Amino acid sequence: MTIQNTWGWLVAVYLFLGGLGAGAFVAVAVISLATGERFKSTVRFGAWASAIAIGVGTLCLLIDVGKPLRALVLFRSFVHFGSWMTIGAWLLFGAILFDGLFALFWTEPVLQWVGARWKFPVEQRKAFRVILAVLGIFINLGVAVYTGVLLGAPQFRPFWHTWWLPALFTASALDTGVGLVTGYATLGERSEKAYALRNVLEGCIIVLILIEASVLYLYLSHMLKASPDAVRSAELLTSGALRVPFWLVVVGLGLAVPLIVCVTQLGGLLRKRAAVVVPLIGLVSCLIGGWTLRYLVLSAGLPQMLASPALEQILQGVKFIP
Amino acid sequence: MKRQYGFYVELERCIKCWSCEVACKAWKGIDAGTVSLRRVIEITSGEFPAVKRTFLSMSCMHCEKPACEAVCPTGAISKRPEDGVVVVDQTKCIGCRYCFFACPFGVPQYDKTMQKCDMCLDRLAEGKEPACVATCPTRALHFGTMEELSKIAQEKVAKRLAGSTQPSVLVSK
Amino acid sequence: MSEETGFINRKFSRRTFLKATGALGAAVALSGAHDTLLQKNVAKAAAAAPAEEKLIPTFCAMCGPSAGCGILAKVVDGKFVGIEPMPECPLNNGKNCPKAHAAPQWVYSPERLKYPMKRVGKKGEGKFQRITWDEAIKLIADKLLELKAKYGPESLGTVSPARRSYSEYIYRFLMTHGSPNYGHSGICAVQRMFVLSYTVGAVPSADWANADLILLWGKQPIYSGSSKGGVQSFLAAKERGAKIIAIKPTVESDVAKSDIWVPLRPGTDAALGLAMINVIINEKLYDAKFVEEWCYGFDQLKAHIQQYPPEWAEPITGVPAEQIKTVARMYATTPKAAIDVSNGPEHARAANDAIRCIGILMAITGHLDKKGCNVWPSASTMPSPRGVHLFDRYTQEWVDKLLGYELPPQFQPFIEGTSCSLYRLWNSVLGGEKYPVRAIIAPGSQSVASTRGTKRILQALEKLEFFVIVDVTRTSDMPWADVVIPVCTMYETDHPFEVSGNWIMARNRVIEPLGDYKSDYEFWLDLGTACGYGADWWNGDIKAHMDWRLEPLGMTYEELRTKYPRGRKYDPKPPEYEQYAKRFAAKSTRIDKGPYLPQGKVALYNTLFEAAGFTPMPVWRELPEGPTATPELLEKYPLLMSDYHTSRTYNAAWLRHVPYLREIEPYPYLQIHPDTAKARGINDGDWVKVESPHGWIKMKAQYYPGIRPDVVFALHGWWQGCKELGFEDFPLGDGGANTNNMYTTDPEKMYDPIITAMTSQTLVQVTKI
Repeated sequence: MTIQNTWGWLVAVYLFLGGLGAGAFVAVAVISLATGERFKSTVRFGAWASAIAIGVGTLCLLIDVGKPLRALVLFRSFVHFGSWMTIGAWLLFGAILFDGLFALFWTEPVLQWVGARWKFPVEQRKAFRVILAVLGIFINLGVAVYTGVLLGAPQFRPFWHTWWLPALFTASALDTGVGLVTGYATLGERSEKAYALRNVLEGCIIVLILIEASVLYLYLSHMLKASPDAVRSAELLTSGALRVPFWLVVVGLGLAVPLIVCVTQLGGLLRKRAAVVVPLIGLVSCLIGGWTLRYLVLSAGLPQMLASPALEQILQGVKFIP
Repeated sequence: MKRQYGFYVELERCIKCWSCEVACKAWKGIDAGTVSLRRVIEITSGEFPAVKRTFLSMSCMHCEKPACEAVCPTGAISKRPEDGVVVVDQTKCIGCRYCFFACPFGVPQYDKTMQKCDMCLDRLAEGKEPACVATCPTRALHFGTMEELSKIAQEKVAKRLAGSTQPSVLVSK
Repeated sequence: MSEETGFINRKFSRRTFLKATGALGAAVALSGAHDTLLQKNVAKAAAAAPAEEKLIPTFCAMCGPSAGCGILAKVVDGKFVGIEPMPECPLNNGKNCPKAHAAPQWVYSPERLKYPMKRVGKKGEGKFQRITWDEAIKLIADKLLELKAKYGPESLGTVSPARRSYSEYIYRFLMTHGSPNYGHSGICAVQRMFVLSYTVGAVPSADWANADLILLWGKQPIYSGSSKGGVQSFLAAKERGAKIIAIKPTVESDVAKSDIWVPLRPGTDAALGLAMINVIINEKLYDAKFVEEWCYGFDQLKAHIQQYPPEWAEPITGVPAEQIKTVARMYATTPKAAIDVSNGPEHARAANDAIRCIGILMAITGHLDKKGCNVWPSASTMPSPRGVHLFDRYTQEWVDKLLGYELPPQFQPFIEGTSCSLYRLWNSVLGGEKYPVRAIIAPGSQSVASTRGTKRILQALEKLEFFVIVDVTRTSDMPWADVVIPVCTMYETDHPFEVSGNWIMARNRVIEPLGDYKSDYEFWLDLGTACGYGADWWNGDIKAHMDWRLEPLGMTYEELRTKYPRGRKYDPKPPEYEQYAKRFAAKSTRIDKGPYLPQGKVALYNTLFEAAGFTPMPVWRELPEGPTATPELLEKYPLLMSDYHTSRTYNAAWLRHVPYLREIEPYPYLQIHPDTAKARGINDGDWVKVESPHGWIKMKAQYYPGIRPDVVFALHGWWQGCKELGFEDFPLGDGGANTNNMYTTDPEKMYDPIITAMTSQTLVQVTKI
């Protein structure tokens, strides 16, 4: 059975980075709203990470389409708002804008430079930060949800056409985003209350992982009981050609390893809190798992089989190579 | 809509000779090894020796409710009101392949931008049939308005191809 | 786990990286106007009318110069770009197959031979030097005359293409030169024409328009020219409610539309035929009156046939005895029943027996020369254009001079002329025959790729003194040629005319020749004249020649072209039926001009064959390697293999290099039953090694439910690559994809004894590579 690859690894990168950036922003926006400047370093990191992640993700999207220069001109190309891709494109644009602005407002050298020329934003920076955080949370959550809705809109890919998918991608976005921020908080945050931040974040990760795992379970169970086409797709992950990356990487590295890391860190099971290696393993596993989740969901997006394997081949757009 | 053009394929007459496929590419000057806008597929069933093979020539269905049009972010895909032909504006398409995923038949094909059958609009303008229909050696492919086709197809008990997008294609055994 | 992807091959290359950074830097300054590369179809639709577009009525040439489907060739600014329908040609009525649409790619292919060449390196090296047409003709003429003086004119042989409209010119040249050695391939058409002529006096065709039951026996109307009449007749008969029984090993497109499939093993048609005769005679289903009046040898046949009951045929053919009985009964008891037989049964040691059985079946059931049965062609009011063949010059001495007989010498010349088995020509070079040929001319024919015994032919090519190929594109034999003569595709010439039924039309030139060459016809005229036979060759004047051919129709060639631009139609005469006295008195083309049927009746018992030392009645001859023939081989080679002769996109060994056609059927596929494949751990699309006791090839497995689980099938003729799509040539011998390496070349086993039909069945093992 062939797998879907018209939207392949590069699209998976875009979906992953979009989710990652969105989740990271939400994490540091909430932190900034709750704790102000206390964890400046983490907030600044998260802000820039989100802007860059979404920016690079969008770049991947542009590289992937046939006419990137044409696509770049958003106001000419993304005009049909009946399409989720158009909504998504503008959300991405907005997210890059807001994430970038937010990041700028948390970067001192920039504030100095601006302040020398224009006092208002610098003097009111607290207000700006709050407004950007709040608006940014909505936009970034929009991005996270959108990555799932994009796939879900086409009716004829049963594995994608469900609300479980945006739920899963949003959970994963938050999970990976918070994970990235936690990684920095553990390794780079120098504030004296850093340990408190770490603990809270690690706690959040545990909760998010449990949520994501539940959503994943419910999603796949639902699919395995639905139409034959949905079953075919779901089985690819659970017991078919894609089972090894699914169980090993998505579930193992993406969910189990970060969960174990956070639990051991929090629970103090390790006598000496591992400073670098363990959190790093947790972070890297989480990120690898996040990209792989997107990639496998894409790969399993088989079309509704109308008739024969030959038809399926045509729907896959399979061509020969010498 | 003024009228809706469509295709009618007689499955029993299709011999999977691929003439329609090559005639289309030749007419449009599409390079080999890229895309094919009309393709012949086969549906095989049964066990030896009771094996049944059915052949079907497929291009764009020019649906009444095109799923491709609904998802196209640039509005490159539109359904012409005068004849119901669904066309891709090559100056607007960005090649995102969303329409490929939306289409229940996987019709739009990617070659920097999305390519698909346009019912040979340039031939229609000259009063000629699409290239595929003109060449079909067994006259398995028919072209006309859905009304015209239904009349021809009545004796053969033709049915509209199933699908919630309402393909403008009739098929008969 | 991810499968092949062609067009979505997005590797993150340097190019895409630059594109990415460029995209970032470009910003909004870039407006949509930057897209200078409009897609071709937009350009087409939006562009103004092309400068100069012509539609030229002529004929498609993709099946080779022979009965060509009519087309209107579209020429834009002097370039051949495509075709439009030409409804006036009765052969195809405006319809065309995919090959016709791919023609421009063939005409303008980089594989085209552009100028004559002579060899400068070693044989097999493929090193050539350009020469002019006149130089080339002189070179060949001088050499042939030299060899004629030294060894006699019979030292020249030709290897035949499939039946082409220039085949008669080859015969004429051989006649004027003095050699009888026309090498025919022994794999098609002549075999069944010969046997049917000597059984029922002619080759009666199935009356599709009126039959209620048709036995489609080893015939593939959908493959061999999907635009031609055969397909139309088939579908029309179905619509009328006729029943079609398909007798062949695999479910091809026509079987998919037939009512009954008789899945016999390849090469076992004779066994099936014998069993059917057995049923019909023993169950007294034959037409006693017709047998009494018009058949000779019924009592002998009846006694002889007892040893071939359906139960005997079942293990050999693989067809259940009950089905054999059903089919036989249906055929005998349906008044309007016909048999349409073609190439399928012709590739076996028992080919002549199979065809004889079919003729006998038609006769004993009285299904001859009756409406809805097998009928003789109806006459036409169209005068025949003059033939080019010099039939009246044949003598017994001439026949005796033949190198190796394709048909027994007592029966030569047959309707196409004297013929030697093509394989024997090559074999003679290695000293395996009466005398060796020293020179071979190969027009439109590549023996290496298209006939059995490839390895032996390759050896012969090394030793052959003088080898000339006359072709349109590079061939597999070309590296061994001494002189290469390029010729026009039939789009580059304005002759000859084409005849289809009662219709004749002049050919029109579509484009000027793309290089320094002329047409096949002009080649033979020039060569004949250069050898000093100008009196027989119009001294090279092609115009005079064409006019001479058309004289019986009372017009010159130009008149035909100008007065009847879309052809001239003559009225057919109404068909005549039951003209048995006339039919069975038909005179043969032998020197003595005696009748095919000495008793003036259908030869159920063939006294002429008997007198020549052959079996007077059909018998069963086993395959060289087969499940019942050589069961001891089954352990090592458990599957029976054969190959297809025709395909919808290719022609024998050519057209693999045409991109539009190659992308449809890109690989040499081995059709194999899914269960058989799975038992060997072979997935659909895996490359496999197919090995017989004589050779091995590499093919791509294709799961094919419509095939016997103990049989595998492939298409023959795979050698050429396609540069545009990145395919390389295949090796010609072992390890390539050339099915001709697989079969025996043991002279005791490889031929049908009477008609030299060459076997194409063997036992193989298939393993995943």
